Amino acid sequence: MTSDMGIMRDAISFDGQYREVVSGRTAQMRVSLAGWICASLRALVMLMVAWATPAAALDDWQFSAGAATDNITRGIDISAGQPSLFASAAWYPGSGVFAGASASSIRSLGSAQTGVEFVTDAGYVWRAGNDWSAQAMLADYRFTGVPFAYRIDYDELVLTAGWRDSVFASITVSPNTGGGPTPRLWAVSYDLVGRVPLSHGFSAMASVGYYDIAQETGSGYVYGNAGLTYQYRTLQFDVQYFTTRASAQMDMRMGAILVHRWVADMIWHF
Amino acid sequence: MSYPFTPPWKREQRDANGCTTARAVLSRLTLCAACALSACALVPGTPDPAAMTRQMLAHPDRMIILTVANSPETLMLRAGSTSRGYGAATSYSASDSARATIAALARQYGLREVSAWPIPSLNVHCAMLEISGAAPRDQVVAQLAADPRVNLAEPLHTFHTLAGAPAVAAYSNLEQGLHEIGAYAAQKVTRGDSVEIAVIDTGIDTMHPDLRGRIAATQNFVDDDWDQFNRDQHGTEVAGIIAADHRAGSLDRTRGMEGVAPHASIIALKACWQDDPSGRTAVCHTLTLAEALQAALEAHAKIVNLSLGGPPDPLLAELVALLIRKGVIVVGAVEPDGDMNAFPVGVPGVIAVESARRAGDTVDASSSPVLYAPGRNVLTLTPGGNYDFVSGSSFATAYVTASAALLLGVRPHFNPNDLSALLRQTSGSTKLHASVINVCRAMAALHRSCTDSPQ
Repeated sequence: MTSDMGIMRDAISFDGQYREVVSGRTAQMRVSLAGWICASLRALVMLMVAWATPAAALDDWQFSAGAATDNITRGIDISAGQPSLFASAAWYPGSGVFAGASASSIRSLGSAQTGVEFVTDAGYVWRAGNDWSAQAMLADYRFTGVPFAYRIDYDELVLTAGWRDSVFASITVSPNTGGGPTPRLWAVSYDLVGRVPLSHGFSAMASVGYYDIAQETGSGYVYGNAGLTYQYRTLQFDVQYFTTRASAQMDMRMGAILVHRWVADMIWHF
Repeated sequence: MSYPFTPPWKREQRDANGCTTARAVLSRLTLCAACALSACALVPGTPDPAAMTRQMLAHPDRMIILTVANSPETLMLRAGSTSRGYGAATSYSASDSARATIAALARQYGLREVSAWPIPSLNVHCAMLEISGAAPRDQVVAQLAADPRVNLAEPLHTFHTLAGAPAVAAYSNLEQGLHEIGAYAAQKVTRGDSVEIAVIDTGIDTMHPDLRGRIAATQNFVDDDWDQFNRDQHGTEVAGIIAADHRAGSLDRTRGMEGVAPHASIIALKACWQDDPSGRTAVCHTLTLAEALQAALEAHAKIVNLSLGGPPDPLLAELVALLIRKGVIVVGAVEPDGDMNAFPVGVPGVIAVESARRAGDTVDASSSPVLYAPGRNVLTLTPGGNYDFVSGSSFATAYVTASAALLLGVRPHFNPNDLSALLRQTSGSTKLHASVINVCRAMAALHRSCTDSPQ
């Protein structure tokens, strides 16, 4: 398959490995662009964190660690149905600026290797009274430890509107989503998330989203989840059902990694 | 998102039943999301300040304030994804655990929740509860304080603004205060441009011609009566001393008055309400002040003016201490009895202010923990576009707040302790007062050219 950017990629070989012939110049340009975005984001995060008043710095950090029976992103299984561990750090000094970093274990189907997904994000949140909020965030996703990890790194700009921290609507744009054997192209997703507090420490949540990867695959798919959250002091437990709905063409292409399953997770905040 | 995790030869074809099930589940999910949206009535809203104030006033001696840990929750912002700390900024809502704890405490101790409100900056959920039975309040507070689930329990405290009756004299000394503290000379260097000052007080007459363009934001934690907000006296008087700018408002430049920092911006946070028809005195309580302090933090105020006083209050002390740790300058009024343990002046780092003593009185300004500024018969704004003379440490506090704004105009990142020390060191006597701050001399000490004519 030959892309308009001059990248020639071979079909997937039977040993499960991609073979590709990439023109050196184009590859170098792509690596430079991705590296520039990543370096800029990390520099921004470090700058913002360094900006914090030292005396108040510890008040501004939140950490979490946890485990889930599966690692799912937009209805896609990224840990091959295996349990996943994760940890995150978030910095929010209360001025609107925020930044964070997280790591979670991932795995490819058919591979015994366990890899890691690193996410670095930074953004700004605006609040209008106690009810409305808007958030703009840049996020950089880096993968390691899985085959051809460098080809699936990507970046996103996420714009989110929230109401009482209970309803969130967001649009996410990625300029460099990579699809394995295909070139990196634009992808857009639309998410709607609702959360209703119940009693005795429980909340109900439900969400639905659409992932538009038509530029890459010719169509998109719908994903969502619903379930319950229970919080006891610093421990959070979630049980949710995740599902997806794709066209026959999409189902043929990505069927095995689009999920329909229950997932439980536990998160410790400290 | 990328999706390279499954090579095509490992694809599992699902059967028709599987697809039908998926379709059914997805339609239910959409329904759930729609329900979550349509069930907005179930989502706890912002407390109704008017209802809360009414209930508080009905039985103030039965009210308790308590806080419990508001443990962070990972909010799912992206659909169809497992929670793993992705892009989750601090939640401004009460966590499930905090709500459950408050409900359990209310059941156990016979309390009724009047209002509850998370304080994100302290990571606590705060509730005002009314004692349902006949148990004495002190006993219930003591029991709650000993409960390991409770961070802090205290009776609802009441605070008063610190204005007194002005003497009917000295009207000839129009705006004498500005001359006395060297403000006119200092204004040649800076007028406090864009320094944001949170005035936590009653409402302010935002329509007063001399405050035109000076009010950056307003919030009301007492009620929804915005007409009354504009009629409130004490806040208008305080704001006038700080930031009145007759050049901006009045077409007739022979009218109007000038504040100490006429280009500063006021964030008007109403946490107090007038309790007498003359408007001379106003009261506030713990919860409204806590909300206003949180709002000042969120509004990125550089200075907080607290022209009020009352008993020591652990919750408010925590919030003020947090503001100071974040570099905000907090200026508070000393009560007439000089109690330095009172709120807010009892909180370390708060700049305490008293009305300047008359010339001839003995004041050891260098060792005193307080700053002195004009607080007797000072000219300021009153609601309805009017002017009057006022007295009280409330107004001396406003002079110091505005002087701090001028100093921030030349040194934006001034440390609160250094600023206080500088104003103390450069204080001196005048013809009228034994010791009073002088912002022009303070600027000169910062190597800014400022020449003050002697008073």
